[in-house]
Amino acid sequence: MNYTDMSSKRLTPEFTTIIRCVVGAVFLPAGALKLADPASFYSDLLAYEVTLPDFMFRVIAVAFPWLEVLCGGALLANRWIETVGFLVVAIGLIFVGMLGQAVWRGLNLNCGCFGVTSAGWFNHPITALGRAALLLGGSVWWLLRITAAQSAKIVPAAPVYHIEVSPS
Amino acid sequence: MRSPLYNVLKAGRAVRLRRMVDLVLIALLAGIICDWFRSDSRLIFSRPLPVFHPSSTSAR
Repeated sequence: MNYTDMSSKRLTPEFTTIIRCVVGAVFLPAGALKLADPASFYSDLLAYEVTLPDFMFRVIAVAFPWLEVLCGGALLANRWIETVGFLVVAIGLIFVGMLGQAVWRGLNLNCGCFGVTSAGWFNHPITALGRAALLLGGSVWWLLRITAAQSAKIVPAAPVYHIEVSPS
Repeated sequence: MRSPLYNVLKAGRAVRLRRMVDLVLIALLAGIICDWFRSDSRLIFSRPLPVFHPSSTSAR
């Protein structure tokens, strides 16, 4: 491969695929690890001290890991990307919002992003906020790229008219 | 040059709402079913704690 003539245009489709796979590879294990122990995810959610009914936290603790697994799997399999892309951006926004308010309020909590397997600095809210911001940025960029690519496919190319001028 | 927010909202128009609802419903159902089979630590259908009547615990 000749690296000298790699323009950004040539790199973009490959980079889009890499970002999609990275986001999928983050979502899939994150959901699977939470699925292993929803009770601890529920207690991690309670530590955010967000005003929501307890039943909502229980439903989120039970359903959200499955949503993450589905989104991660769909991203890796490159299926339903326009829908899953929007969901992933929405989930990223929720992550950044929740972690941002936790950092703002100085809450010392276990972020619960990857279940109970991880501990220490990796689960600190500031680290988790940086991770979530990177994830959100990557997924927004990826969503914009695939939208641009799809609209380029939908919009037909401008017709080329050949005007022949006969000499008279 | 459109703003990124405009482009994200434009991307939202491409979302198939039915498919998104399907995904959320599948996740919800799968979660509830798994929770049901996790009988020792249910979150949604948690069994009420056993209530012991004072008369049943008192020394006879």
